[in-house]
Amino acid sequence: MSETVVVEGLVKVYGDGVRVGPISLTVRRGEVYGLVGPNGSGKTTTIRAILGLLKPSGGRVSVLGYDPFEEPKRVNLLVGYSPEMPVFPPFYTARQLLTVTCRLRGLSRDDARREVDRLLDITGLVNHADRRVGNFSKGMVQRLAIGLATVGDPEILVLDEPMLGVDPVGRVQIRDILRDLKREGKTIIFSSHELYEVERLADTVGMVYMGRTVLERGLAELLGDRGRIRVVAELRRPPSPETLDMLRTVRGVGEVRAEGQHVTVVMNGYDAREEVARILANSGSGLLGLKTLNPTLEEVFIEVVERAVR
Amino acid sequence: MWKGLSAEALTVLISYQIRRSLARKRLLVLVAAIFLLEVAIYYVLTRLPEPLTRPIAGYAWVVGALAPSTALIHVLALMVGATTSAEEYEAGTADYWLTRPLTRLEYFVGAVAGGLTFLSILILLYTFFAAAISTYVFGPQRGLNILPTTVLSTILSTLVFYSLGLAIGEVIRRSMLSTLLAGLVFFGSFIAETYLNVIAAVNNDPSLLEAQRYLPTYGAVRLASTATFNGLGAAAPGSVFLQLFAGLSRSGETGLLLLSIAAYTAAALTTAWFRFRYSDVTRRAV
Repeated sequence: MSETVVVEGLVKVYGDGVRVGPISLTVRRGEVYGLVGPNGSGKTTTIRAILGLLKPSGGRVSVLGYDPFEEPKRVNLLVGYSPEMPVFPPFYTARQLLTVTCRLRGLSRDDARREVDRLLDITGLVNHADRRVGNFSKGMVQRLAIGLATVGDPEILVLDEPMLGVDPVGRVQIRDILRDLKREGKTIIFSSHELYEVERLADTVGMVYMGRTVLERGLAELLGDRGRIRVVAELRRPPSPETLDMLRTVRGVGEVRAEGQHVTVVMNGYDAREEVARILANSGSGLLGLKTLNPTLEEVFIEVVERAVR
Repeated sequence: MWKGLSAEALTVLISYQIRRSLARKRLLVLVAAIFLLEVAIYYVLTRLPEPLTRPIAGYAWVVGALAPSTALIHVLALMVGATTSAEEYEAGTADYWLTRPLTRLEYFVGAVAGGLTFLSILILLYTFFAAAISTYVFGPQRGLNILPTTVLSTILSTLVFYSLGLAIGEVIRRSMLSTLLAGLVFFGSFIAETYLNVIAAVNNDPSLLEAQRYLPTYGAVRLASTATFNGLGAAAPGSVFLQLFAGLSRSGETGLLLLSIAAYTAAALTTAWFRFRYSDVTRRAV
């Protein structure tokens, strides 16, 4: 896979002296890249630099070989963008806004009409096409923003916090749109501080914390092969303290937690699942089942951040 | 520099700016004030004794066509200019436009041209409104062949405060503050002119009048009346009402007035362009 977006040692010093960076990331063609980090960590700065909306104070940003700040028109032909809190001219209807965007992308009148109908359908806004955008709900605005980002079939999509402030139904709809785009093979960069969403969609994760990159790795690698196994056992009755103590003595077991009839056992560097199952089965609590769980992205993120702080 | 400007992009941006201006209540209030001023002028004229208005009956359109160009149209121009870019940053819509396939120059030219088109349409409308209402009230009007000159010179004269407003708006990126600052420049210049006139008369010192020529209101306020009275020539009667505007006209100084307008406009647009092109796109304040 070839590189589409490269950010190398991006540094931005704002007028008030706030410094962000160095941030580095590499996005390959066809991958979904999740840029994660808490609020104020530098996600939006990175995205705005990729779009040419701000001039880096240091480092380099390249989008398919172009410098976004110097050649914004070329870059914006290749990139579709949905901002963190989308704001559109409120007097336009959804149809008018999509048509205007099509015109700016150079689509002919007929092609624009077809594209607008297609996008209204994808975003589920057919019934609201002729309503003013100023009267839209947050979820509708986010869906419209994603629709606008895909006008003219750009090669790369940049979505800044696409789920922010959207209700659960809207989230499902946005997730479906993103899944379809992923299936189409689009390169997608999306930022979020909601790690659950990233875990569901991303191929690669870049973590930023306090203005710098702390980790960049494939999601499967990040959550899978880490030598850490977590199992949850379901019992008929709550376990006795003796059973829990016995589990703690097993080789490789790092953490044992009981909540009612559920026991969570975390193993580090050694697979002790058979031994754990045997102890629980013989404990008299009545073992009903044992399930292996991978660590969540949130747990990994916290671990990485703690390591970075140390 | 102009090569590669897309006509489609400019059309979209100009029509957007016109719609944006029409959606702004503060601007609409001023537009309404201009038309009310027109109506009020002709209402007052019809209430005056006939011997007083008889000399201008055939040229009554001049009063309505030039009245807004002394102040109101410049206040409107600076408001449109000061909000053209500043409001886009404040509202966050700048992000929408600047992440479309547009060069920075296309966006800038489109925004400037859009505001100017809005002002031009308004000037055209109220000038023709003045011609229509004066014909209705005073009968057939003379010198109407000068109307296009009046319209064009009024449009040119708005360039000064439109671009000053735009530059201030682009530099500080706060619409209300830029409107106030641009207004301060306009009224400050106006007051300075009056002050220089008075002092020059009291001290009998014509050199003070020279200083007026460097103020931004000098060309902006006088060009429309100068061009109109130059066009009308000796045909226009010396009525007291027309003299009000004739007093503003500088028959031998059209070139100087144009130079003043061109200098202020060029300086302001250059400042706005460099600030826009070489700095970050300000994020919407949340």
